[in-house]
Amino acid sequence: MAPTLIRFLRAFAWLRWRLVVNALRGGRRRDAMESFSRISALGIPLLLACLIGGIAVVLGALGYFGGAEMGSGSVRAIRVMAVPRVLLFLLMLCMVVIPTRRMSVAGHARFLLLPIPRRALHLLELLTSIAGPWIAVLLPGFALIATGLLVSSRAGVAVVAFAAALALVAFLASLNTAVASLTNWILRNRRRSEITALLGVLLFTLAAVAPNLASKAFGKRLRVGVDSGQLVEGFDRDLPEWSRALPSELYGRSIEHAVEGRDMTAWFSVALLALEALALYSLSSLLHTKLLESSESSRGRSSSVPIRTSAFRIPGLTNAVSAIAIVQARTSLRSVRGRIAIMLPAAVVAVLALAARYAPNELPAGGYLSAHGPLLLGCGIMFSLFAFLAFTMNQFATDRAGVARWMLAPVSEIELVHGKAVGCALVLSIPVLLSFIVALSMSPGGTWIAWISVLVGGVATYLLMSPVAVLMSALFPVAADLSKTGNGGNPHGLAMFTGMALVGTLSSIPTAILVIVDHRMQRPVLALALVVAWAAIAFVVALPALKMAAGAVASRRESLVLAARER
Amino acid sequence: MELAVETHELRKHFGPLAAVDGVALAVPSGSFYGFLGPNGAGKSTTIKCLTGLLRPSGGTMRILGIDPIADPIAVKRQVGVVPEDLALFDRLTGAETLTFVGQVYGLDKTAMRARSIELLELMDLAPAARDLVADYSHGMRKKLALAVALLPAPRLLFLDEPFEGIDAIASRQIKDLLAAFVKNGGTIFLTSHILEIVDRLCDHLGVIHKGKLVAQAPLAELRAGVGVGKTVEEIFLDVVGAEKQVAPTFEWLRR
Repeated sequence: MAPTLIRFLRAFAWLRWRLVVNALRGGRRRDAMESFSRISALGIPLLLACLIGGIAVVLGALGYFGGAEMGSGSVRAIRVMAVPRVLLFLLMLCMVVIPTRRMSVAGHARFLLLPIPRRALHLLELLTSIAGPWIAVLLPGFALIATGLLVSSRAGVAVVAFAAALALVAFLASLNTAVASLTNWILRNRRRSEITALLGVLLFTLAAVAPNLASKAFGKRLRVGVDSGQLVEGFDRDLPEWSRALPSELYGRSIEHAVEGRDMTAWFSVALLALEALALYSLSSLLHTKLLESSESSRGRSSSVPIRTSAFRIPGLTNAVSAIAIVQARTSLRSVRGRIAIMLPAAVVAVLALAARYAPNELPAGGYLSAHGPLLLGCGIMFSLFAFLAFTMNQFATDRAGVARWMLAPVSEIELVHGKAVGCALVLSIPVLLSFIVALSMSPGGTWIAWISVLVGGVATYLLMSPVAVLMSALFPVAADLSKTGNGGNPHGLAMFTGMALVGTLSSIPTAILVIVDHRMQRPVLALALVVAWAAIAFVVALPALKMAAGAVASRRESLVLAARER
Repeated sequence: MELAVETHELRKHFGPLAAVDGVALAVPSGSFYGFLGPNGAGKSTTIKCLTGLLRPSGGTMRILGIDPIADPIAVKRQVGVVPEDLALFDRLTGAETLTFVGQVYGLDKTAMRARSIELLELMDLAPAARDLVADYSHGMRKKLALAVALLPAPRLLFLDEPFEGIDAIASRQIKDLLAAFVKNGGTIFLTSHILEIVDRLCDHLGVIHKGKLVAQAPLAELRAGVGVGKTVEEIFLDVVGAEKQVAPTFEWLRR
């Protein structure tokens, strides 16, 4: 079994290496702009790799000095062990909530067709997960805690630390594999995956108030004036009894007990941790088998209702522009990213309104926010613009194979660009309307002029943003999958960054007008007039700018079609 | 002879690779033109250049007498295409896809509705007309792409492997439909690896090999050149020189 497994491992490692290298090299059908786009897209992963490498080095150093300190009998060092325990627990939570998008052997039919036993495939997954960033970043820390203990002549404790680390790594790898298998199984069905992603993101957002509450409780202790050692000890004491069975706790406590000379208790913790790892390994094996045996299905219900062809046309637009706008709106609304972008801003506005009402001192300008609904609406508009960057900053390639349909249809680039802009605006109006309803019902203060001014300011921001969005979408297309909530659905890093900067910069002008003229000078009518004038300027600028951006689309047609097909 | 598609020295380069190398097509109006070639010969690239999905590196083209580079919209109004990747929106339903295409081509509502229903029923897609394209099988997508190409009643159809993944019943219906399209004066430019279909449907043949057009003539003429009674497969193999190659023995495969 072992030589066979080593052979598989070697083949799999080589495969991953070649995939990385070939992804960097790209296809041969690339022009200079696409080469630049491809290279610049590597910036963020490179930055992350440097960050992870840096964290691993820091954790390694901390582990070594912590181990050496504990070995020399420092009480403070032993107390501080509670910190890595909490961090490890948070890491486990992260692993469950944000499963890594590592390549799963089950996701590739080719692996299943090769003569590899399923148990070996599962083991392969497990070993691959150890090389993933979640676990790999911890390995130097684990190894150097034991080394630090060994250096300070506590060989027995070092052995306990090493054994506990092995058991914990096995547990983490099993957890990672179990979550990855479950995630992949969910993704095997399109509808199931979309519903799960939607619920997950909404719950994640609503859970955003939890750190706020936690920080309040922790902050209260800090304000009382206890020192950090006592703080950690107090925190440790307050932990519920059941938390002692958590793998992170078992790992930390086994070292603590060994340092304190309670060898039996220490080894009991290690054994318990190993048992937990074994149980989770069995569970991950079951989940992996279920994944391998499940068939991929994307078929939804089949409706036997009569065919209905509704040929609605948006008034004031040509046939082509209206058709493009409707397709843009429909395809956006039917994607996971689109649904999230529609619901998220209003949910965030509601959370903000609640936080501003019940904990005004915890938020900047919290008191003001709770009394001024228009400000909440402004936040809602900004959140909506941010949430829709996945669409606005990657307007063409998100249509994937559909891009070729635009190119084959008898529509000019300017019609395409106008249609896309109207379509995005139509979809954007939904979260803005929802934010308006939430803001109005939770914080009805503010004059009606202020509400209108904020809305007009939002329109101006969108108008000015549109041509740049078209340009970035044409220059940096990414075949994003909008059914994905993670990186897979994101636009190009540069486009995303530009979009964020644009939303921030362009919305600052109407915001400044409203803050100075409406709030400080108390002249709401003048503020409205100025914002309307700003919107008019935006409109006058946006029209020719869109025409220029359409020129960029024309020159990038070929690249758009190729990029949208990931070639 | 009026030509539906005419190219001179058509070239498309991807870096040092000449995917299409000086191709001179002459597709007569009202013909069923089969465009054949081995894998990677440049068939799909040629179709992409003709339909505006790729910009040629050189040469000239005229589609239905119009220069597609100078006036792409005018060409597109008269042309239907089933491209290699089908170019469908995953998150539209089948019916919505046809509605969208009808609107873009400026069809009136009554014609659009009638044609959509007729095409969906012909392609056996009516029960799934309100399902998202993302939920369609490969064959269903292919049939929808063909319906999309036919909806605006084009004068010229470009079909890139239209029969791949289509079941025998639908394939028969589509063949009849395409034959009727040509009989009524339309022109079809078709690529297919299923040479029996080309044999039965096409009256003109063009063969591309390593980016160059190595044969182009009415099928009857090509048959006469190679030998009476020869099939398209035999003509094709003869033209690309495959029959001259010695078949490998693969000793290691012997039991």
